[in-house]
Amino acid sequence: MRQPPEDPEQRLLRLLALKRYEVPPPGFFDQLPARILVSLRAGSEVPEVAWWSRAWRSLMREPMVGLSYAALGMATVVFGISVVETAFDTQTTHISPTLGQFPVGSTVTVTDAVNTDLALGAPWGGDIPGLIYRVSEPSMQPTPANWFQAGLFAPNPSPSPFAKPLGTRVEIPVLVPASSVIHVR
Amino acid sequence: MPTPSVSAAKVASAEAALQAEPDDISLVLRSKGGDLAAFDILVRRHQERVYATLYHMTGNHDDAADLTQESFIKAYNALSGFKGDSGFFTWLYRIAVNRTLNFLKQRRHRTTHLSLNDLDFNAEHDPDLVALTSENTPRRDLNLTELQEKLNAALLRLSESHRMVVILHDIQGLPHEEIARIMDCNTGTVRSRLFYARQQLQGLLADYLK
Repeated sequence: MRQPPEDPEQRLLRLLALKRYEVPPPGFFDQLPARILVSLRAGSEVPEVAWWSRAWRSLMREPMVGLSYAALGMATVVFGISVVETAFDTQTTHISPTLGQFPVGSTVTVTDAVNTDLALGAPWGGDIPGLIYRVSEPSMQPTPANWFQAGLFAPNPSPSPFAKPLGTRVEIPVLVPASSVIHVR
Repeated sequence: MPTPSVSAAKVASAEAALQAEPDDISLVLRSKGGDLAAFDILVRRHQERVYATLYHMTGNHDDAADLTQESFIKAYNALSGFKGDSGFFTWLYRIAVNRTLNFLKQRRHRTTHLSLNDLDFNAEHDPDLVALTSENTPRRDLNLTELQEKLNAALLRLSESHRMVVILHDIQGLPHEEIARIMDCNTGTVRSRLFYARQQLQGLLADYLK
């Protein structure tokens, strides 16, 4: 007698039953509890993947997201540099006009509160009486262009066309006994 | 028909076995106190079903073995969080399933390497499976191992959540309600996923289901 055709879903369930016959290598279930107990006795935790490792894998999976993050990082760096540059520019505006009156190469002694304009001209902005300051050539303000040009790769850097003069600068302070006058030599 | 004395002996031995094997909850309580021997009994009791589920999900023996081991270790370390709202088995399954789903997400973009286990000797004597390989269909030239590979390849084409439902229900035989608790969803979602997963499998295995 011919049996009625079977429902495809029933046939699928029959086929899926094949999965129940898949067995691991012999002895696996005898060894697994021992392995687990050894790990527990050793106090091992389940290794969690580090956040940076997950992030790296995620970036590798999604290159466009990675590129976006890289662009964002670059934009942040450029923004940071521009902020620093602006800060330098602001600092230069405080340079004393008085200092410019002294010839290059001369030395100036600052006494206590005699000439605060001169003290403001010090590169560190300090007001330290009793120091001798030497007036030198205008220096170059560091910019990204001359960072690379000067500090890292070039032994004798030439000023970058992008570098801006910082203005007249005083340098090499030497501590001397305080006096009551300003000496210009 | 067994004699009454034989039946009574069987009942007595079953009761003795039950007394010898404590239930999951008491074993969990002992394990919480650091009794590794109690946890060892829990591992031996549930390892086959946990392993089988993870193996069917990954299609790879080594991955399944590692995930099973990690799941039990994680369960032991998290025993203090087990409040007994659900059975230990359900709770353990939830840990194993979540860990496996995370693993599969990470593996999604890698080429999946099938490392299938051997078929049990009894498979060759299962009348349903004998019929599947002997009927006059395109699969008539296939042996059971080849059929196994086709079936696993089709299963791996399903999404992880659909595959999980098929494995838990159609292979492991868990009820919808238990699957819903394990997968943290409602039974309607389980039924819906099962329906669509079977539809997809029927399409993928159409040649072998005629």
